[in-house]
Amino acid sequence: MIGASAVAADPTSLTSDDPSASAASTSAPGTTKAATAAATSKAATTVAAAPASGLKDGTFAGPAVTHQYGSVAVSITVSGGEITSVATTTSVDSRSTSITSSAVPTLKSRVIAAQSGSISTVSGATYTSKAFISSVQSAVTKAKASSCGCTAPAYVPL
Amino acid sequence: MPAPLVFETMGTVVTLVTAVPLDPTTSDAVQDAFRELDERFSLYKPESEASLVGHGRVGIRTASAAYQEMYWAAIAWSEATDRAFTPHRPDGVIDLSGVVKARGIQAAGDVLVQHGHTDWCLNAGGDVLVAGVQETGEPWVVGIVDPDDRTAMWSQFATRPGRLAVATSGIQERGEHVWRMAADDTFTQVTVAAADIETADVLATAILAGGVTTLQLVQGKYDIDVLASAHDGRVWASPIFTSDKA
Repeated sequence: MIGASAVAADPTSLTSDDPSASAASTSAPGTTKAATAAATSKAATTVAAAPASGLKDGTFAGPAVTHQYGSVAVSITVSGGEITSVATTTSVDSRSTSITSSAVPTLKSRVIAAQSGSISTVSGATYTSKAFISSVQSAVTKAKASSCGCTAPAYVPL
Repeated sequence: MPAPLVFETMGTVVTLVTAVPLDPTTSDAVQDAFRELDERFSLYKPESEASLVGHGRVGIRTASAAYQEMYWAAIAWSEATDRAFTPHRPDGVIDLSGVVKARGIQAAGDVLVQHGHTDWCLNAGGDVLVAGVQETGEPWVVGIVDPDDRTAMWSQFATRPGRLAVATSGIQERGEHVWRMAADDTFTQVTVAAADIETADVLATAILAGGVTTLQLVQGKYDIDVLASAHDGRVWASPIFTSDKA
């Protein structure tokens, strides 16, 4: 979040230089392959009691600064010699999968369950051949996997 | 769909489903792809090169080119994972099985492609490599075993381009080839989906061994999806594994 404690957010002066910003969401898995996901964040601010600063009026954009997951660019609006708003534009580099596919802590209940009938095969930790076979067979049976899958047919006894 | 090919190798079971029936030549070639590697690299065969070199009876520098290539591949993965993955066991034995099995799967997959098979699902002891789609046109879907109940299914992963390989490591494997770094025993089971089976297999092992530190390290370096469970019931999951419903 831009701004120190001295600046107060003012939603009414929120600016956005990026027309795509409102539609972007970096948190939706479905957008992970979008070329670039951009979002302009709020953080319109008013600076109280700025002295004669020598700042020209207008909107000024800083350069995009790259970081681990993409880049961030800041633009400021100056009016009457005061900075009246600050807007940030962040971009997530589509080549960086660090955000979009990273495993993060979550609730076990949010992990999608295996869908009955759709399982082709099973990935699990190998212990021994026999243990794995019995495990897979039980798992497939419990999941009511269709007979088209890798693991559905009976195994040759060891 | 033709009956699957099922055979034992590398101390585990391989299951192969193909959209088009396997002819005997292809079936033999697939099995040979595993067995050639197993002959050289099995630590369970006392006179294999892996046993001789692994236990220090033959020096690495006098080992075959094939052994040295596999060894340095394992060392490269060790470096890439800050040594969470390592071919050097605490007891001093060199164990390349973490890479060998993946290379066997890849070699078998290459055989299938060379013989004109475009749609298949290959499972070697819980490590999965697929190509194409099922007969129905649906993607191959990999079920993931419940870390708390190995006879139940926990989640699933629909394969797609760039995610054709899925591997799972669990603490049950410790006796085989997963040796933890003492620093972190957070995870009980780690599943990694990647473009290739070697990456998936090695990184699943590395994350299990190295914990959250390794998880964060490799996620910054590799294009993978991860589903991991911890002793205390916590879960780490890539978005592909989660839904919004609580």
